[in-house]
Amino acid sequence: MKFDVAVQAFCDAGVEFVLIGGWAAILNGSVRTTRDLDICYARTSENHRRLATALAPYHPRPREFPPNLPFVWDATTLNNATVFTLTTTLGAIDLLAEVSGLGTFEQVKAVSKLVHAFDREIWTLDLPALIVAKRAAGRPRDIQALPELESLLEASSE
Amino acid sequence: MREKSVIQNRPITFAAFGERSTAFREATTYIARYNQTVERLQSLTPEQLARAEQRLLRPAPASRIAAARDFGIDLTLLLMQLRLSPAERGSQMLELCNHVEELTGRARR
Repeated sequence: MKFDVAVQAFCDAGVEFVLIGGWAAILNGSVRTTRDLDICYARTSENHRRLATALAPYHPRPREFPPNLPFVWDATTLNNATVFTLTTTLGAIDLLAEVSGLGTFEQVKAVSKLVHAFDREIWTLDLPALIVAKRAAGRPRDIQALPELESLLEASSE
Repeated sequence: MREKSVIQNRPITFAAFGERSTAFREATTYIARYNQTVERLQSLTPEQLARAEQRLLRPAPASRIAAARDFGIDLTLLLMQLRLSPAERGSQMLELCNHVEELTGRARR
């Protein structure tokens, strides 16, 4: 897993994105490990182009695709869907144009904070927004993460 | 006039301006104002950390923290994380995830 390299590649390519999911929780103080990097990205053609360029060297492919099935990774592909669950040489990376309970990239960014991590300045969901997103996602692993996130919020609130 | 021609012909960079130029002053003022308005995720202050420590080590009855402890969350681990900067939390967890992956790979082999 080289998620730091992925984050740095996105930043250096000028991709507009917000860190969500497990890594956002970790930066906020969670001790739960995660096996993938989740980001929410801006759905503009320029951002699609940047995202496609940034990730191309790491050979992204949908995780559920058989190895012999052709897959083209470019801005057009990004334009044709809003959720990508990818395997890359850096590890599993999920790209989402929208986040359950929060909405589009602009709405997600509005509830995010700037943080210095992985040697870059990046946007990450704040704790209240993470709790809303986890609750809205509603999967067992998201629900299980709630007590910890709510504790962190209660412990660090004024 | 010199500044105007620079703006028209080249991308604006700080290096393109002298530190006394109007554009430089405007840019630094804008950045300072931007940095003030943007909310940042940072390390807890000593006061915030002391309060978090109090709440995590002695949870108030019926609080979210008490519920989490009863759910099985190790609150001392959370406190350890809160003592770190966000960058340290990220790099430590990355190291841990890679270690876990390496062990899982070895176990499979």
